Amino acid sequence: MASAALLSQASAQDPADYLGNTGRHRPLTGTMPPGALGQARLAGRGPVAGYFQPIQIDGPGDVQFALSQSGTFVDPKPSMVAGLLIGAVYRFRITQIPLAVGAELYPTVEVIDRTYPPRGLAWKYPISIQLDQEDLDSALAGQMVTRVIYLEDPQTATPMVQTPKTRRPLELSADQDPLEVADRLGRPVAIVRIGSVTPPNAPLLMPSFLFGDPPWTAGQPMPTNQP
Amino acid sequence: MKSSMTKRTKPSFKNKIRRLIGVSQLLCASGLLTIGCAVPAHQNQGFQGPPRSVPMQGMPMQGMPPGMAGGPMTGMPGMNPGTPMMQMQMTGAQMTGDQMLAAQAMPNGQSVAQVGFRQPFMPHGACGPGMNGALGNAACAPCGPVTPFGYAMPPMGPWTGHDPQEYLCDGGDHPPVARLNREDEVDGLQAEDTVVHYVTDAGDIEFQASNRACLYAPRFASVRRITSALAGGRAVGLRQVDMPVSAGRFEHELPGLVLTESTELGHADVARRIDAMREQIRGVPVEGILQLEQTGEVLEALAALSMAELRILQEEEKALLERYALAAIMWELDESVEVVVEDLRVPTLTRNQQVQGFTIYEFPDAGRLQISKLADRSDAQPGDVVQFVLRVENVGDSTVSDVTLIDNLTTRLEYVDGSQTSSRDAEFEVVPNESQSLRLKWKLKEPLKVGEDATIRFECKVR
Repeated sequence: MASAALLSQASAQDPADYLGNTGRHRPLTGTMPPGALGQARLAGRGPVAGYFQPIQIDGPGDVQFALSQSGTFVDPKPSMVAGLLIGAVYRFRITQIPLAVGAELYPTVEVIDRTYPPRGLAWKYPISIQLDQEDLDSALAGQMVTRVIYLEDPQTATPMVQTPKTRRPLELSADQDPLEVADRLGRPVAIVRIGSVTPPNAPLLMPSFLFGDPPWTAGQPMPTNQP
Repeated sequence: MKSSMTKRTKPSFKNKIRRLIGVSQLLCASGLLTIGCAVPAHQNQGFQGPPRSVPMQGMPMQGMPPGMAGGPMTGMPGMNPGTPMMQMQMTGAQMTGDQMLAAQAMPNGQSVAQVGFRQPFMPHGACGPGMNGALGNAACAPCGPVTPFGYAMPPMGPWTGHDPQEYLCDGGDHPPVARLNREDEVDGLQAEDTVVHYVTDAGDIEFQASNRACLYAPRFASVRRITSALAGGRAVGLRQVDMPVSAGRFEHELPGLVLTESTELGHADVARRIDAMREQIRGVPVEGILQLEQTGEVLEALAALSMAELRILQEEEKALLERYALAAIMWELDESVEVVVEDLRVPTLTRNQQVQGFTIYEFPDAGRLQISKLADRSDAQPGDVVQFVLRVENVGDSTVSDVTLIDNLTTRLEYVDGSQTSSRDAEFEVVPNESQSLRLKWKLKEPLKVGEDATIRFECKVR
């Protein structure tokens, strides 16, 4: 008993104890404000600044996506394909939500890392984000949905056929850091936060609501033979 | 506030201190004083927001990140239900209403501050996103690039221009190398390995690894966390206090008040040590990619290519060949060691280098196989079917037998049942492997003579 007490006392004096049970200190977490992770990535190495990373967001049913442009949400489409700057935060609108007539959602998407496709394949292999009905229902119920999209490690990937229509997200509990879990499973590339149900009433607040309305490039989804 | 004051307190001095603190708060709130501001707790961090008991005049929650007003902060570490921030979370579902209240307060002359706005591109030296200064009224203490205190920023992602994780490779022989054990089973086969083993005329068992066929096939997945402001929380408190209890007597005897100097760090040079290291080098360099530009007949042409062939000796290569031959001659030293021992008569050195005997050892010519692997496409999406071609060719000088090809498929490749074909009679066997995929094995029934080859085709579905 005495030795155990001494051992616990010795371990309590370890300055690394307070860093968490994972044994490592993570300066970047999934609860950081939008934009912080992307800006931290821009401070790192690599050709990430000024690169428009293609992404594609799909949803259930006939849901429509519209990305903000010049302070408004224009050109709703069933599949949002756009090139987004790394580090910028983009607000988009979701309409025609199944089983929620007239309801709207205003999530944000933040690209925190890029891909390195061969020449000519950037738009064919965008960062694919597939929102499901539970995402939208939870957000409409007043909850906050945080999705961290990561690039899977091919050697530790899930041995199942996962197409954009069939894959499911890994559910985390409230005390888990989604960025940390995603970092363990692969390389995090984007974060989608779904929670806002209405834009602000004051027009003066729209710039902050749209995070400065950063520029983006339009793209067209490439035809695929996926089910 | 960087000041050092040692004074005896007086009733009038307290008022002066209060006035000074009040002025500093005003300066902090107006942004004129940005260093060492004694900001109240509810204004210190912009994203925390004021507690519910503080009137939100001019500082609504409109700039807060998504969900901050709706209550995603329940998962933030270090939060106790007793803190003012948690009080805000308990009733955070009404924060949208606060925004509306703030918006409605605009016509009354109260300005709506631009808080929470984050410039995506901020030059160095200005307050970047994530720092206090970007959130309005708080002190803009740590400006410049975002660097965690005391720890180095971990490198995120590759920077060499490509990421092996985006490629789906198959082929090669990762260490430990494949070998045949006594039970005639192959050990050391890792995921992605593709090898052929055979028996030469000399009876040796040889292994040969194929090249790696890589496809650009990134696959994205996601983790999801759904939080709520009222997830399991209960706010227990008094509704009303009817009997305010105050002190009956209060003696304030302070012989003196010493204000110690509060020195804040303007700049901290911290010896950064490695807290944790995660090595993500998996030894899967993307090299030697034999990709096809077109599909279809091109695969036929490539599959029939001979990787090694005889050709005519060129005139300009004779000099190089002569040089190596001359070097080989020069290496044939016919000198021997001579030993001289003092105080002894020099022995007579007799060199007898005549040929005493001539024995010819005849080794059988070594058989050698060459295996190559090709894919009919250079990129694939999940669900696509990729056709692989395995081709072995006897490029040695003798016949080889017991030719066995093994392809240990990786996790994301699923063999399409019944899709394999072989140009020679072979026993095909499929067994599950440790990568939750299959290990394909072909054993040729007939030996491969010199110059002969075998071509195997099969299809895989990209998971």
